[in-house]
Amino acid sequence: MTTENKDAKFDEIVQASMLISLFSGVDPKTKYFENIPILMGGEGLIGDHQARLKVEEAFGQLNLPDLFQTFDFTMYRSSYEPYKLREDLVIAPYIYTVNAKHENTFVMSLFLTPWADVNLSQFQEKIVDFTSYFSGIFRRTSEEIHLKKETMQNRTKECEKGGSMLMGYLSHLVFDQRQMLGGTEKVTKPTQLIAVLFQRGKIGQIFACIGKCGNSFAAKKYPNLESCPNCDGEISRDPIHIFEPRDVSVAYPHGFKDIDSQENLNFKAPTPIELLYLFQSSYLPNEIRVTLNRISPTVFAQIVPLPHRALFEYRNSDDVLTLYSLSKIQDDEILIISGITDSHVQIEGQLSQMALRIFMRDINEGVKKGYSRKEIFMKSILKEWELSKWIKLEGEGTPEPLMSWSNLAKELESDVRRR
Amino acid sequence: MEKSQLTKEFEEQFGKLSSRIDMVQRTQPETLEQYMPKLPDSIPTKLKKVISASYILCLTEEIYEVTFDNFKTDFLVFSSFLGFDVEKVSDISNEDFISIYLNPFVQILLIASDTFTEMLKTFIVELASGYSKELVRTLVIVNFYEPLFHKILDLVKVEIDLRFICAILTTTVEDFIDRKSRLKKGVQFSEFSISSLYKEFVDQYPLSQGQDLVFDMCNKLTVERTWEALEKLVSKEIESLSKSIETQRKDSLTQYKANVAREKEKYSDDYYVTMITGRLFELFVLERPLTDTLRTGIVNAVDVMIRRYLIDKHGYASASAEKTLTIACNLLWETVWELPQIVASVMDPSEIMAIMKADNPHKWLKDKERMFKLRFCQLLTRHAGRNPLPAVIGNAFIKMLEVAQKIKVRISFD
Repeated sequence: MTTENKDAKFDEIVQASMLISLFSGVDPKTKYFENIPILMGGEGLIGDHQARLKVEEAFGQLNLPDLFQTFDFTMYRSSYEPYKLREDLVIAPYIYTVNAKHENTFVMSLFLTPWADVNLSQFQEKIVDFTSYFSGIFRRTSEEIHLKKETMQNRTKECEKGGSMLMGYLSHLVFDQRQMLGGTEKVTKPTQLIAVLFQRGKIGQIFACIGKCGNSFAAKKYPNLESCPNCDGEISRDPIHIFEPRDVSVAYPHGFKDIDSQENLNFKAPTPIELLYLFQSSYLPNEIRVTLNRISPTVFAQIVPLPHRALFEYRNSDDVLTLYSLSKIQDDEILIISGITDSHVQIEGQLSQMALRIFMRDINEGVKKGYSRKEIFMKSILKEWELSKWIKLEGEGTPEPLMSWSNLAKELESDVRRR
Repeated sequence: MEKSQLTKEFEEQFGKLSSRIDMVQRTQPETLEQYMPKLPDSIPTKLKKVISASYILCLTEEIYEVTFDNFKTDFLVFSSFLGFDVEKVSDISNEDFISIYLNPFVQILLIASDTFTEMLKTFIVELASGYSKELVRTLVIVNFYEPLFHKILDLVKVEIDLRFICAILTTTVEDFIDRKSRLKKGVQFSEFSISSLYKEFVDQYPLSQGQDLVFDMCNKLTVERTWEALEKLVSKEIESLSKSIETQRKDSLTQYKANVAREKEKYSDDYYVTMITGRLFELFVLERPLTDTLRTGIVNAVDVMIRRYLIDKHGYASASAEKTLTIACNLLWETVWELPQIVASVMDPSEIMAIMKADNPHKWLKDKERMFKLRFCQLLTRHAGRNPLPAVIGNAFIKMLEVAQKIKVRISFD
């Protein structure tokens, strides 16, 4: 690559970009999994020469197979927008995650870059290919161990070598060839808009347990934590900044209120609280946030990655769920509006996924003009839908109205037009 | 029924090969007779002819240069993967034999040697560009070996031991290197044979099935074995190419620097101001009247000037009203400052008297430049209104010029 010809800005971008990949292979004989983390680039972000070790330590503890096998839906790709806590922060990288699996091999890839237009579907295609390549390496070395030709240590070394070859090629494609930037994202399956969540809240701080339990503790309640109250494990040194929703409001199609009582449906429609959980599961895992904080406290402790887009796949079918969020900062308070589209819910009054974009444009304009939530809603493409009141999320337990759609139908906004 | 693409392709390839084999049989009967006795007796004479002819084809087309014995064993091993049994061979017709066993074998050799020639070019260019060996290695495997493997698997259509395909590729590569390096010494047959290499690979690599193994297999078996010889083969070419790339890079850098300097010169404020000074010169120095043509000329010039400036400096043609006005004021003031008549239009009568009485009028004007500029900008803003487009600013400027012309006339009367 012509180093002289590259402009300084591009150099800065490359240095502030980092690609962390975690390969995880399940040994076919012993059923134990082995984690192989690989870190590429990030010279401008890493302030610490031990960063590589820290990444290995933290990522080595993640349980990737669980991520793919525990829940009804699996997140395959997501992107996050950085919300800066300090105005003077120059570099605030966007964060992209792409997950892939091939038989017994799992990959989680974390791409941090100031570029806002990484084409995630193209990126995912490459990662899927590379996962299968890595799976081959892991399968062969495992077989060699079984035949007593190889030791466990050699397997790790070989896998590391293979993984870094693949990831080196990936970063070559992105930075030298400038591929996988811009363009249209591929749609895997046409989806339909099923609900829109409005959430408002503030940025809060939590301490995360790096020990066994992995719980998190609000910094307000436990200001001076030294060890985990649950399991006595180690506690993250710097607090993690997260978005704490105070209340939520849901907009949904008119036909949804009867969905609980309909018995002949061949699927289980997600309840409002499940949609809220879906949004929450698109957050970056706490372990990763802690690791990033430790790699570069000056950058990552000062940003809150707010979910922007995410794609989930149902575990036992090829149906997809997508999430598209927009965050607005209004006098010290954050308003997050997220549209959820689903490819297998078919109910009267639904709009196609394209409607989501139009709705987001309506919201952008509405917020610019200073309209309230109700006004925005009434002037938008979704004005035929139902809109619930603000429902408080603070306190113990799940709020009653969010448990089902029929419950939510009792909590409608009063002056939104009734049918 | 319409034939599928694959069938068509297959028929085409098969037709080509069978006609070429026919051709060899007709034109070189003596050479054929040399080789035919070396084949097992259980094979009928017809098939013996076909196999020997295809061997001669491989030799003349420079696909695979080995001894006939090696070719024979390689072909028989390959056919055994597809279920070809020498004992039962009398059941099969000549055409079926070519299409089922011989065609894939020769095609694989052909595709492999073709792809390999192409790959060598990339290999040289990427290494000469200064990329690391590891990266080039991955690049070569992902872009050439992987697709090649899939092509071959499509051709064979049955599950075949991947290590054997790997052995074919490795042999082709080694054969290619060997052929290139012994060009000077005169032709001799290479010692490589696919089936002996396959036996080695079986010992080295424990798995044989699954397309996820392709990357690892190519890396571990083929590339590992041939990399150094390849580098040695083209080391001179890499060196010379990297030198020429280096000089190209230097040239482009000097050109780039010159371009940047030229751009800077082009996009200085003077460049934009010259768009309008000519017309103002006509109006105030040559003292021509403000005709409609001149008027539209000035308005257009202001419009173009502001838009060009915005595009060149900011990358877009429209900006906020505030920004547009600031840019317009700065640029227009540069032009106006050269022509004191217009400056006089923003002065009070007392100030005009003062400048006439001043010992050094130039110094007096220079000292008060900021104040006059501010006044000029205020006037321009007032004429242009709240939300001005560049053309509207041009019209506002015309209004100011009209006033300036009147003042000039009055001064000249005095």
